[in-house]
Amino acid sequence: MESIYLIIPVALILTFIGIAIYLWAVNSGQYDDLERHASQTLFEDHLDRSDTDKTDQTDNSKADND
Amino acid sequence: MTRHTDCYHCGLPVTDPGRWQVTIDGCARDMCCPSCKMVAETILAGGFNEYYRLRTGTSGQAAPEQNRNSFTRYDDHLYQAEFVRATTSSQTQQDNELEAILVVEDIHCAACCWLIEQALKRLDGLSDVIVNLSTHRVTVYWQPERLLLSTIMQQLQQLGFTAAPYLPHLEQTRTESLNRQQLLRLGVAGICMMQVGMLSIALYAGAFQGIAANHEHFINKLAFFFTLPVVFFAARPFFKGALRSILVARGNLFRLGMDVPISLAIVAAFFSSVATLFTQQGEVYFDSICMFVFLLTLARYLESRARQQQDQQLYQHPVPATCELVSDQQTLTVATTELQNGNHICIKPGATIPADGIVIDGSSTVNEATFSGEQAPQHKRPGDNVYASTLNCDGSLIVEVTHCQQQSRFATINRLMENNRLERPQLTPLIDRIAGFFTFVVLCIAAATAYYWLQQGNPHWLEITLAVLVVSCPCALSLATPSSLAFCHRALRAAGLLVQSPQVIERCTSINHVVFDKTGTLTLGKPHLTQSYFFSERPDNATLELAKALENHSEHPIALAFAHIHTDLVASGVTIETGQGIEGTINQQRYRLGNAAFCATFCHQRQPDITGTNPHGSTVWLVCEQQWLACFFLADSPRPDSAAVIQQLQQQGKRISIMSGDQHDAVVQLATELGIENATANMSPEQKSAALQALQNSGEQVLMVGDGINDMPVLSRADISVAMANASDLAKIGSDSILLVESLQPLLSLFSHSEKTRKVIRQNITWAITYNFTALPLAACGLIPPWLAALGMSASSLLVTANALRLKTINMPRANTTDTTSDNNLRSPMPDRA
Repeated sequence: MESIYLIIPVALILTFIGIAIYLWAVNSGQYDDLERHASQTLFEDHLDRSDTDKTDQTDNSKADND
Repeated sequence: MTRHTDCYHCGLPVTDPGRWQVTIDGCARDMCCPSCKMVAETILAGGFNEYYRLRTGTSGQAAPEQNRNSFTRYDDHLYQAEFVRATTSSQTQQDNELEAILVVEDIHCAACCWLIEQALKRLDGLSDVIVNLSTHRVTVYWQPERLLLSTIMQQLQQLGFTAAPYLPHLEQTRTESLNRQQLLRLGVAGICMMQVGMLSIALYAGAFQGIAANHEHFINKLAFFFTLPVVFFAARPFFKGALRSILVARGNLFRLGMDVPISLAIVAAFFSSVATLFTQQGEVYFDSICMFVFLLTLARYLESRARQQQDQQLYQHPVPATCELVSDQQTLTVATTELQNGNHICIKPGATIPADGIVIDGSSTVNEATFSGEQAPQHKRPGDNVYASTLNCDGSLIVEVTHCQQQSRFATINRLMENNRLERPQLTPLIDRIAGFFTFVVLCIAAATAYYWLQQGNPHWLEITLAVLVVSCPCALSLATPSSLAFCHRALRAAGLLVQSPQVIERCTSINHVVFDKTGTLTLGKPHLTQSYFFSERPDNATLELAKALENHSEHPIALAFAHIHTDLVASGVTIETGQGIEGTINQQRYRLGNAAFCATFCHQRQPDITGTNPHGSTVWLVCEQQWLACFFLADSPRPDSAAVIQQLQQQGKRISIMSGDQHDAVVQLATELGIENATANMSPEQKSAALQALQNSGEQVLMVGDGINDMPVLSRADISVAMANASDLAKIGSDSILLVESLQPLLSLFSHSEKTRKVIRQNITWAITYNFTALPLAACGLIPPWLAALGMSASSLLVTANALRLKTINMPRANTTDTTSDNNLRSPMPDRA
């Protein structure tokens, strides 16, 4: 049972890391829109892809997304 | 009444079925106007058919297409300085990239967001676009050397969205940072609650199976660490609230807020648990604290999110950011903010006036609807005053600035409005006073309980007292009304009615008389072509196109009557005689469009006789030098949905009246058309007030719908006042609620939804009171442990909020109606898409 002296403090540290990540996420505005993303999966993004194919020659930064 | 279909794009009634049709997914769909048709075609051409399948509700009515030049001002550097900045984010490694935040009010659902993102991403030079559905904002990142901002704006316009630059607002920035704070507190409390909960499982198991004392102590210590952020970060609003309420109460114990017992319970539980950690005697309550704080924060978070109505852009009549400064015979474009008193500025026809001033040269008409609500333009000659934010209609003016931007009347009114909104007195509703009293009683009972059990020598006296404090806190009672109202207001806003005063819903259920103003309320408030007479051998359409080509050059409201006509003809050499008419050359021929006298001086033929009369509107003639071509009757026609709404209201047993300042004949004609019995015409604002008071004295509860500043006294006297979407700003501030759409339909939603809201509020209050009165004696007898108390109290708050959540959507009252014709007129919130 002595292992709990190691494992639980590790859990404590992980939790505080988790909180830190959460703070960062909220402060960087990732949670500003809580309504939209629920239905995000309904929409296809293939339109974007077929489009980037066309503009690949001109826009290299977009090609990275594919 | 003919059967109506609704516009497939925007859901407004189609007045001319079959005229504007678009084939979407194999079905021909009717549109209400050429603009909607054009937008639908753009969407289909882009391959975005999915938009129509996936959107919830209908889109906003498309604005008439604007020509490219009207967007070029967005490319002006001075104008951009206000809202465009260089990208700071490191994600995109593009040099020289700009970002701007635009407000697009017509974003309704995730499908709109998708459409905007997909369509904008096709623009060459656009690096990224982020659409926020909650705030209706679009953030665009683009490279200025490859793409112009005006192109982005135009693309949005072609998709049917009206975009405006986002200029942050003090109050709004504050709400937004508050939102993030709340979310942070909620998340931190949630994470910590889960950890402490996990540790307590170990302790509970230990209580049954046995646990080594050192292990138990170790676990308690860890729980203490997890509770720290909950108490010192997440629970801070409760402490602050308690402190404030103690300061505000100033010794009046009945006015203590419920934050006081909450804070007391948290502090007592926390410190007694910490004491236990050191003495190793007694109980720890870390799990109860965390759960209590988390659930309570959650209930409040849900409530406050519903309460925030994003009405940010409502009052922003943008003053142009740039203007033409005249100095030494030349004009140069400067930022409006750089204007100084005494400067001379040139204001072109159709431009918004940037500052208050005196006309020194030129003559024109100015639409001062922003201030007076009066749509008819006012004549301005040298020596007259003009005001910032009003619209110059048909001539150029040279104006000497007397009050530059910050001192202008417009700025003053804006400031006044901001202050009014921030300092609007917070009425304490009855329920809060009851809750205040209840809080005091709870504190007394807790003290008595503690005293009694101490006297009895019970070692668990603290535990029992904590349970009393927590279990009987009247949170649910105070959440009952505001959460229901918040969700109701939010639903109504989505339906097109902004509720500004919390009393609206409460009073609405007893309203039995609805009074309408006429112009701009029951009618569209815009001239409309009612009848045309043609005297030449030309086709009628060709003649109309001539008129349209001339009116294209005019900002006069009469031009609106011709807005629906499309023509390729272009008039040149156009001159405008203020108050008379317009003259121009089309295909090498001079034409005049204007009043009879203006036309008679141009064409010396005898003026043709016409059979009809048009006593309530204006009559406009079209002539060329050889002959009289046409005569147009323009009048203000009723809104397409007025009749249906009136009929529904009458079915609900409400009396309807018209109180109008207009001429007798016009009012009576409209009243007959809409089936309204009580119509009074020629009324001054004072007479309107007196008539309204007479109604109220006879026991009627009156809801008044109006616009314009002359309705102000009446609106403020009515039990509930509703201002129209295009009402003057002052009328909007003064009224209890504002219609956000050009339709009377939301009134029906208001009545049906307020009834439902009242029911929910009653259920909530009944539940909260029952719960508190049952739980309190049980807790005082020591039958409820603190963790159960925390759970019960928070669950009660959550239940109340969840019940209020039912008000989030509106069921349109169409289910109740038995009349099929009016049923078809009602806009369905979700049109069939077979």
